[in-house]
Amino acid sequence: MTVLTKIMPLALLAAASASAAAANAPKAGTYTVDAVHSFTIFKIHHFGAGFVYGWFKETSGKFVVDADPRKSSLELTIKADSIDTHDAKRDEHLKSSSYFNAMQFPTITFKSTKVVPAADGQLEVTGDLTIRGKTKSVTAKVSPTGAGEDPQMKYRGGFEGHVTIDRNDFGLGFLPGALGDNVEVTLALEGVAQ
Amino acid sequence: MDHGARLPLYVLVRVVLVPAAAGALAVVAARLAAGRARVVTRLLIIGAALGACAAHLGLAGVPSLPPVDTIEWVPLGTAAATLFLLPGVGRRADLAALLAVLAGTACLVGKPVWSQASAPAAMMWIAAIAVGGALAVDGLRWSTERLATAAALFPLVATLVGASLACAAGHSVLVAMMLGGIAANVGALAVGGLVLGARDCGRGLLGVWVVAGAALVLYARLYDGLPTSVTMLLGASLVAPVAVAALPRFRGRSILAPILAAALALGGAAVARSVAAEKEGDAMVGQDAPTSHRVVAGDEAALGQLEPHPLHHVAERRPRLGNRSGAAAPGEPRAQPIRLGRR
Repeated sequence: MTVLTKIMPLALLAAASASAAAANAPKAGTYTVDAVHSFTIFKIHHFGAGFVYGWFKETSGKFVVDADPRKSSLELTIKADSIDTHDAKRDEHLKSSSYFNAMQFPTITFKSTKVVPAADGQLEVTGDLTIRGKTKSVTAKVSPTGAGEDPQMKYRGGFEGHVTIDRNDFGLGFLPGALGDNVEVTLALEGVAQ
Repeated sequence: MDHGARLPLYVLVRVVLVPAAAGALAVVAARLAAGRARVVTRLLIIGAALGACAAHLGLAGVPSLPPVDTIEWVPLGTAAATLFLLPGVGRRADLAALLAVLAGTACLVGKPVWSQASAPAAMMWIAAIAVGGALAVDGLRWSTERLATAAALFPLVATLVGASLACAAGHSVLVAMMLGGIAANVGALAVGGLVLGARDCGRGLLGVWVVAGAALVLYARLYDGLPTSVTMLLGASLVAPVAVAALPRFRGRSILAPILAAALALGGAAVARSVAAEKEGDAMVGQDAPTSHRVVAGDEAALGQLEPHPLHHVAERRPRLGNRSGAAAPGEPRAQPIRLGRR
């Protein structure tokens, strides 16, 4: 009895949260990515010690939410020279031909090819990621983060995705000892319904 | 795993040891083949090509076919130069082959820029690079006939090292290491040739180096903001031995010639380093728009403080290269940076 009384409120809270999240999932429609409220964040191991975090300041694109998740899609364009890692010298190094070669390859693109529903309301979004002219298929775990109307009565929907990529797959393998191979990328997207 | 200990070893092996070993082995093989002039020439050309290509392959990996990044044309251009110049069929044929390889490599390395410039401007640049490269090769070859070979090659080594340091400080570490690799290869062949007496310094050997070096410098200039002063210095390093050789008192193998050339080279390297330090200072001051990336990106406010892009005048006559602008359009909100970490 004592155990039940302890567990029940937690279970109810969890159920309520889950249903609230489900209820808050963005409704079907086409959304334009709001660059001001969307973030492409990454982290990478530095000399096997700490993690360096960074983000791309300019992310644009659109996503389509369908009642049948398999018909949903996502297209993103990220400006390579908008990278920011809290150090101007390092940013210039990353923009140079040593890594992103932003002069020659100004954009990073992602275009989904398959969306599959996963457990806990998540989606597995598979798509072609192109960095520095090299394209590779990657799969991101994406979760809806909510939906609502802003003061201008524009309907907004949010998603957050996580994917880990190997930098060597995209011609970014320079100085293997200095940085880890894997880059953990977080996509925090907010879209405005069209 | 000790990542910190692995990095210096990576640099030492791929930038210095492998290209230098390729040159040294070629010199030893050439020494063993002494007396067979044509074999010696070819062995040295192969040593130069292996050194230049090893520096690229070790650092940037095997180029994809067809190349995606235009830096991948550099080893292919070097290989083409080797293929065409190795037989040594004749002076005119070799000159024609050298001009063709230089023009082709320059065309392919700069393709994204040339394609957006006017056709006459692009052709003018490509022709200038090809003719300049061929003149440099023949000038150096002429000077080695009048001076000790080392007097022509040591200034080249020192300025390549200077340019490499400038690139490293200017954030294009990859190009810096590749230039360093070519410098190690030239140095090994120059020192080895001096010690072992394998000193053939013909159009083939010089042509391979000049194609590899010119392609890299062009790449660094177009996409990595290599300063004009460093580019001019590299050009001067090719002209300096010719100037020394033209002076009557240095004809023959005067000991003063390599000393003067070495002094020029050291001075040149020092200038290149100071330019690099100045550029680094600019980067430290201009936190948001430190290099030519931003200049080309249309951050006009920075133009007064920064060195313009090498083809900026071309860029001004045509639409911007793609939609690479880092600046927000009028009325468009500009994202504010979020500080997320610290190195």
